[in-house]
Amino acid sequence: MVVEEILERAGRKADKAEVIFSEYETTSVKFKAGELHQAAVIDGRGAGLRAFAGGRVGYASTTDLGDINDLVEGALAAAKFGRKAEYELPDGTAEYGDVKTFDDAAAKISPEAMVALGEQALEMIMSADSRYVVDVEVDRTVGRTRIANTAGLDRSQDRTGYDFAAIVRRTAEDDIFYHYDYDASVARDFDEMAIVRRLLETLKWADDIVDVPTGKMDLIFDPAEVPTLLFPVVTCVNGAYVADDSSALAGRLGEEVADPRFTMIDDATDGFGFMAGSFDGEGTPARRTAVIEKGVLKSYLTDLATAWRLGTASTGHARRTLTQPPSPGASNVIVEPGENTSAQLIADTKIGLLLLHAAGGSMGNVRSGELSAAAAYALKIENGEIVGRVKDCIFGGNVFEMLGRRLRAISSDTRRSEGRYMAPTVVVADQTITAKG
Amino acid sequence: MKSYLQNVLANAPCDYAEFRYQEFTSTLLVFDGDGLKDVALNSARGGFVRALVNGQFGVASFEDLDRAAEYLEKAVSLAKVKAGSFGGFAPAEVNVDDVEIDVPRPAHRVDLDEKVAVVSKYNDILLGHDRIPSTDTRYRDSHDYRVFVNTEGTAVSVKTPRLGLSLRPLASEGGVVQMAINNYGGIIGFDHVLGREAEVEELAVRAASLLDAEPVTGGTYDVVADPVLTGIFAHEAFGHTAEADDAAQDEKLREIMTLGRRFGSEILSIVDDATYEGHNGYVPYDDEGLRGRKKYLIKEGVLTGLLHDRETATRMAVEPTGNARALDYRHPPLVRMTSTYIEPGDISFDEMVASVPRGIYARRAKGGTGGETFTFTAEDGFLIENGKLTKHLRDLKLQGNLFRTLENIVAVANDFVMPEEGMGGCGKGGQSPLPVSCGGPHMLVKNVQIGGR
Repeated sequence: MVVEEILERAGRKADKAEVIFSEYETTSVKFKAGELHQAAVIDGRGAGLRAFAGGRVGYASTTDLGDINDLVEGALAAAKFGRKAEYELPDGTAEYGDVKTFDDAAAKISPEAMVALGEQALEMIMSADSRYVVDVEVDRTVGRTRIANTAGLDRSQDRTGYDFAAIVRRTAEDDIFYHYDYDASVARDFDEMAIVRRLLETLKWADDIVDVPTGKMDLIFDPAEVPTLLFPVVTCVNGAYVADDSSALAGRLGEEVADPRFTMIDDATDGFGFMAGSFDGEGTPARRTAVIEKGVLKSYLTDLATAWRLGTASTGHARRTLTQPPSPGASNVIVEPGENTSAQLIADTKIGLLLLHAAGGSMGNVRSGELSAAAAYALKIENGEIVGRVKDCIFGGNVFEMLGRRLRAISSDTRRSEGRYMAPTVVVADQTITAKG
Repeated sequence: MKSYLQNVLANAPCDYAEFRYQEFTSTLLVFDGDGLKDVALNSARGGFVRALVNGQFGVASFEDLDRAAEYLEKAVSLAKVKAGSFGGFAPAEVNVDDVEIDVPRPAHRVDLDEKVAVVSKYNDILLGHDRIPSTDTRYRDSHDYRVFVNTEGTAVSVKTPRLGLSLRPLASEGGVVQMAINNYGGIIGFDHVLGREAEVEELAVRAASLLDAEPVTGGTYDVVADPVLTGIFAHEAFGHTAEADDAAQDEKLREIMTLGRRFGSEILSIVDDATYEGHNGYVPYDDEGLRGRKKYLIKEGVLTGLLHDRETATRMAVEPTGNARALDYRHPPLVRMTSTYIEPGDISFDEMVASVPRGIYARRAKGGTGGETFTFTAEDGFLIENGKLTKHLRDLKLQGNLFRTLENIVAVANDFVMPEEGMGGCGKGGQSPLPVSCGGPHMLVKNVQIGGR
């Protein structure tokens, strides 16, 4: 096997070595403007090697498994300049949970069946409103990842991935309205047509463009946009930014950083999302991590290197791609629900915006906790009723203030969003909205 | 490689087929507050095949080149999942060529220790500043070799050496973190990044100065955009709307994007130019084997062209523009931009600022998203009062409606800059970062929304 060979060869020259090998096959069908446009298959594979030599670490990767010499020499050459890395690699003796990462229903769906799902979605949307130009995409991946190192670890995980997206566009005189909905998971564990029905539900107000004045109001994050609100939070708890003091949450463990009603948990062992897994990108066991509990900062997210810098143990949050060595990142994120339903929260809103789709949220000074985004699709609420769609609004602020003293409510109902967040509706009070003109 | 793939295509059981082969090597250096964090040497190679059968595309991406014939069959069988409506490409130029883009001392041939030494020195300069605890400095050079052959006889190859250096100091004080960016690179040799010490010093001071700048007050302002923001506007807001893949199958959108329609005043001309050398948008041949070219999208305020691949050009019965680009061999080509810019005008930057009673001069970009409603984040800005730059401002998020903003471009300066690209790129359809360039002169736009507290 190529993994053994790479490890053996690297082990001869390096003090320690770690190989990750992955192979996958992705099948996708894309419909464009109401017609099947393309069916595709991607057969991919590759190996990445971290070599630890002279107390430093280097990385190399390749998709060409015919010649592993360049891979080994590359990682060793990189290690001459790499960062000090005096931490131990996992030896594989830790306890690993049993997390479902392979789903037969996802693995076995045929391209024909994926096409049929797309056609059903198109039919539903176009019969509901023929003005929409509709794109649909269905993808599924079957793959396997194996991590082995010279400390004795050797773990494999078979994985599936499945996602479904419906995108609609409707153009009127100088109004290009665009919206979408999707879901993704490690399994085919959702009803595709439920996504389409939800999309159609949100389109009911798309025709009625209403004005909104610049000023303060409630901003209601639909579960679909809670990831936008959480992006600065997830960034600020990243151990790498904490270790070099560029995060607003550096040095604040144990402090209250949000309202006591806000609890955020990271959990790859909860099989609800596509980040599910029993170990992370370095083979550290995945576990449930309370990040912010009842408003108090409880834990950062770390991999081996950042934990070593911080003088702690890895929380099992090493994320990596084939071309980049591990760095910390969140897995599946859960925000604990609150007391009232989303419908009640909307009904209790005097004046506000229900945010269904934001754009540009990741461009501000995220490590300060700043969020600033455009409301690409938002509905205006007056006296508990949705009155129409607003255009060209932007909003911004510090998320710890939004989730702190300005947090109005968190809903009791939650929904999976972006395939990896289990999110309620979150209502932020006194939000300045900047509107056109 | 060409003849091997041509042989595989020789008796392809389909109406049209193409192979793309790619070899890609890169060196990546990532720095943070403790210096060099990651050193990664990556190499990938693989193939991509696209077949058209009965009006339907089937595609396959693979890494085992010996099995190219098998993947052609796979693509053909995927295309046969269902018959489609596309009648096949209109005839296009047949090209046979091999291009090797030459730069002096290409970075992929420079020793790793020299690269590490140069970038480390810059990162150390940044970290030497007492208000800069951390950086997000990244360096990547790459060599991209692409071969394209199709059943019409086109057989081209292009070798492209690229270099990107993005220096990003993070100034921090009392929970406020501010970032400034200097980008270097393009299709250019390694020596281009040498000798930048003074600029890096200036960058550190600039980042720290953001801590003292005032957060902008949200509202509607007349904005003088610098060449970086002008370029981002040309690319994100207008450029993406001018990509014809949506319009080709959407009558209503096509009505809006009708050639000859006036979008702005006579001072406004927007170009996409694949022949602009030295920058990342230089594309001698696109990923359908067509020549890259210079196209006016808007000329003197009037829409004169859209960006096409062969499919959209066929559907809209126009000439293709050579804008089919794929991120790598794992992806099909999409309609994408190359080097997109606004042409310069007559007045000077000073005259432009002097003409503004109250507004904001916004500089540089940290990011942007496009479409009819666009949003950009500027690095910083200055309040303009009575034609003079006054207060230093930060946290500027600019937003606007594409069509109104095009009408509201009231002045274009006589300066022109094609900013260097650094590590960034364009994202579309899951393909990111695609190397592109964008630039232009300073421009004055009326009534831009700026978000703030």
